[in-house]
Amino acid sequence: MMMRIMHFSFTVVGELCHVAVESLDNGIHVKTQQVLAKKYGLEAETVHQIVDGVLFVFTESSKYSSHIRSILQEMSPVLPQYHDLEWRLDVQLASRCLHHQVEPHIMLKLHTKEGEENKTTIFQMDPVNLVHLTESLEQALEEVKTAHCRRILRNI
Amino acid sequence: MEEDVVSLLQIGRLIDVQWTLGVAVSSNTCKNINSPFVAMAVKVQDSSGKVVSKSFELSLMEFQSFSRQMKDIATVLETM
Repeated sequence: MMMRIMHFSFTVVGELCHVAVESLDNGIHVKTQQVLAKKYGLEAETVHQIVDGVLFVFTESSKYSSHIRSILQEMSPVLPQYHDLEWRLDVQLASRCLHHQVEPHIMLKLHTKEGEENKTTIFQMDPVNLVHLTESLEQALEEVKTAHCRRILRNI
Repeated sequence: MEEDVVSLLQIGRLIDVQWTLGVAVSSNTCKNINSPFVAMAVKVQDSSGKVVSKSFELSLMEFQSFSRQMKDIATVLETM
């Protein structure tokens, strides 16, 4: 089948595939195939065989689609994924440089996963930064509600 | 001479120690912790010359034990 298809132009191959995809939804339509055969001066049997072959490739590949998907996922660049966030509110009372102080700090422990690998990042934040971070994240949440985002999410 | 010993034994050189005393107020798992702690940041230059920072936290008990050991070292030095 591949040998035969290779002799055809892109237009013919495109139309043959189109007919094959259509027959996935509506069943095999002999009349359509005959029209196509006539249009390009092919034998009805040849068109039938090609459409059958294309259908076979589609159905076979759909069986492996989850397998293919997982392979493709492995190949795509992996970003660390959020896993967990622990926090603790501390009040700093003294340090080597400055005794007698009252300085609130937020200690954060971010757990991320990169494939099988787990990673933790510990960092500190002051309240001003925390407020800024919260505002920024809330802005992101608001952005999801906008018409533009909703339209895109609906179409995915 | 001292340089040779340091590189021979692959012992790092202490560059700096910073400390803070704080009270943990609350966390994601516990609303009222209210326990004091000492956080320390130690800067060490290893035998290859690279400066490494290490920070860690000690509970009050742990810090008392740590400080007692330091004092013991000082006492031993004085009696030499």
